[in-house]
Amino acid sequence: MRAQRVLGGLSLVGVGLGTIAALFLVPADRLQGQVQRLLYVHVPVAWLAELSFFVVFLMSLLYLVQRKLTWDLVALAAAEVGVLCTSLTLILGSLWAKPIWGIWWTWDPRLTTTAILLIIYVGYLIVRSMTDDPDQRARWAAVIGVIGFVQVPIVYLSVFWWRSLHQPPSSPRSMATAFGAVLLLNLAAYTVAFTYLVLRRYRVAQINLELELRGPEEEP
Amino acid sequence: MNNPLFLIAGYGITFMSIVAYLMRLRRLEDKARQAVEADDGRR
Repeated sequence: MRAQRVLGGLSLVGVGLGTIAALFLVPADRLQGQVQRLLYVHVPVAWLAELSFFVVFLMSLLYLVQRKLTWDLVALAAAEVGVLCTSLTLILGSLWAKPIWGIWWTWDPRLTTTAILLIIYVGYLIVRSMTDDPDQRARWAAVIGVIGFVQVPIVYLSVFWWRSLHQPPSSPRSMATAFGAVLLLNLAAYTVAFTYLVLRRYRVAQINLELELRGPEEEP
Repeated sequence: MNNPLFLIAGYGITFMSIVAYLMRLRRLEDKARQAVEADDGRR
């Protein structure tokens, strides 16, 4: 519980500092102007979307091998936060695209594959709600968690495989030092915030599972 | 390109989504706590 509080505090401070640096300290991009500052939140949430589905994949594999429900609960927590991050990636991308590309949305390979990724993990959450049996639920979810992960490298490589309007992946190494440092700060801050959210969601899932496993009270 | 509305909308939606998710977590935690108390009381 203490670790959770510390993570929460660190997330708040980190995201706060990262946002101040992104909005007020780093200069605006020479070509794109102020709107380029969306990069400092668009890239971190896109990275976290991919990280969360990697966690889902790993936990799903572990569940299929060991059949321990704990792995399934971590996968659930990561999938939920992953869906949030993927939705934000698409919304922020759209807000960035309108002033730069002149359109809110286009069926570009990167955008389309990301939308498919979102549909896969929304489907993952829907499938989980279709059964009350914890083992069956974990088994079904784990299969989707493993197969669905195939989409993650497709999203990443889409800008290299096909002619895409979307630029190649941005990283702190692909830009000037000042821009890169602020991006790195935001990447770190949002990753801590992600860990905090996943941990909190996992704890609730753990309590709910314990209640499920206790079963209904026996009549005296 | 320098229209600040896109920037405000982007950061606003991001923070509002995170706060909304934190509120969902708080709701789930309260519900789970109540369920545990009710279950303990029955047993």
